[in-house]
Amino acid sequence: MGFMLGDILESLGQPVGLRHCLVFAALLFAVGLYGVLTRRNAIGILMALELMLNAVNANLVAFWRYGPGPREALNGQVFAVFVITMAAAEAAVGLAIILALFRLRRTVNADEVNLLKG
Amino acid sequence: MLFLFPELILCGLGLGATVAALFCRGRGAGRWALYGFFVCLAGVVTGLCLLAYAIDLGPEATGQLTPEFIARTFAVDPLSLFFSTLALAVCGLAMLFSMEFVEEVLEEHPAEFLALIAFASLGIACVARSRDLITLFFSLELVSISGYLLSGMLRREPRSLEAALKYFLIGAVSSAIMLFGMSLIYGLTGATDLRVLRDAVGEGHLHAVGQLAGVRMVSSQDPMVITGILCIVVGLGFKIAMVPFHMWCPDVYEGAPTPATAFLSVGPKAAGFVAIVRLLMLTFAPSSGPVPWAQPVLWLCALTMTLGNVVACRQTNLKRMLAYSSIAHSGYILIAVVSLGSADLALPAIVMYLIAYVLMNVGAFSVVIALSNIEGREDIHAYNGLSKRSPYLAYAWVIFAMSLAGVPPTAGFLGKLYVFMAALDDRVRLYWLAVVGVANAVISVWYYFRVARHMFFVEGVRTEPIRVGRGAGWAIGLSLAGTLVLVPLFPWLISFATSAAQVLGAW
Repeated sequence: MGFMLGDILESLGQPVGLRHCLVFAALLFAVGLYGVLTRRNAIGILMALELMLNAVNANLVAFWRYGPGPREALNGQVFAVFVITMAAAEAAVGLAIILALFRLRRTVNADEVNLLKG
Repeated sequence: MLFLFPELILCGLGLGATVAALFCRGRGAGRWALYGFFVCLAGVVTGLCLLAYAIDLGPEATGQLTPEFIARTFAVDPLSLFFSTLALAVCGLAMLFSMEFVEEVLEEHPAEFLALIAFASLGIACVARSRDLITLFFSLELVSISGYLLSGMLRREPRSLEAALKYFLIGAVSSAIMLFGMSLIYGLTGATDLRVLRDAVGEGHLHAVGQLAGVRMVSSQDPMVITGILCIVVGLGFKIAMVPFHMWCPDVYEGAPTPATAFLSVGPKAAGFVAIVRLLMLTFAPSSGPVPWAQPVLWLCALTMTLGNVVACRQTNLKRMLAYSSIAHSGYILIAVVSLGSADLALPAIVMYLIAYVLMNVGAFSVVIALSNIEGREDIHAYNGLSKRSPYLAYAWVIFAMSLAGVPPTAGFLGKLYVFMAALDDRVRLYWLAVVGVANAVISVWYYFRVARHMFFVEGVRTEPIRVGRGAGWAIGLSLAGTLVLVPLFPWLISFATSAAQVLGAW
């Protein structure tokens, strides 16, 4: 287990490297997940979701830059570009659904949308 | 390119329907659905011929017929060709059973509905083809995003929109979690190619075992690898509605328009299981030493079956009941997924179960669609006295209920039989899991046949005969034929699936 907390904190004092990026991405992902779980507003959930996807992008690019793969293999970067595209598509679909719901119900609060139960 | 035929058909169908959407408003969409069905039918026949040709040629020669740049991310083995033909068949059946819906219920954007079904099916086919993490993820996402839109197609219906919102939020979060896991796996090994990943995630207990052409070997016991794989399991668990990630499933199935529900219950689920086969069973399962995801999935599998069946018993809405039943069916297929030691039995069992599941679920949902087109509701009392109003629907339901519950001589029975055989094999010895599975099959008989009781033995308020729509009627007929005709074909199918699975193991 090379990932003890003390280890990580110690290595953060060194010049910027993979660890810094990973800790940053993990925190960003955690903030996003927290937002998704606690936000009531659907737009807020969507924004928190974008944070999670951006954490993934940070991870991918950091791993491409510092990771074990050869720098000429652009897998990580290509993956990140596709994730950005997908995030845009998902946001478009999500906003369309939220907009249609708002027109109908005059609310975008996720916990007021509760017709389906059982 | 020859062996990518099903994908090309689906892509053309989706684009064609998008263009048709420009000209087609209101009436006339049913005709387009019928054309779509015939295209799919022709595609399935051609796909099966190609499949026979591919098996005849063998995997190497098939691979050589495909350009390098496609073969690097797209597998062209018989098994994936088979799955994309299955996706084409799902698309054709979906076109057929949504014919009355797009003609009569869906006033705006009827052709877009068909286009989304075609694109989602394209996603399923591409999931089966993927041999790269990037391709696999984005194919899954194609299925999911089309699914969000399909469930929200009735824009003036609050329940449909609510289903779409729930499906979207939960689906998007699960995709993000899965992506995070994939980024960790990529980062540790430096590769996204599934074949390279299979070799790189090894059984050793050392952190970095060595270098292999720019790829780092990692132990499957590495905490980061386990985190990554578990994130992927969570993401895929959401897609197939595995307990405890199933909460969205009943709500979405109930709220979405019935034909969309019918498609969602087979399409994304099949895609999820094909992804599980590719990722978990073939890539992240080192041949010796513990498999990091096996233990949690084993317990969740038992929970999924039991919860799905027990909760289904107290549902009075047919769509909700079928939602819990589809959760339970995920549990049954997961039995084969965790029976890793007998992979030569488990892989064909999954293939067989998926075929049977697609046929019987499409059939059962088509009965629901046929009635909800006329009555506009799906609660169990709408089915009172159905045997007098439409004997065809009532007797078809009995056959599908037998198949879903696993009563011989139906396809569902054989699917369950092969799944349990994989668990009972000497190399696996998961006797308790098979016992739980059989007990669950017994429970499920109760709620499937409760609906049949309402159809045959409860007097209904309305007695006028039902005219079953052309599309739904044909969809029921085709799946009925499939459910029963598959039985004599099963020995042949099993031998095919076994040989295809062996090819895949070497891939």
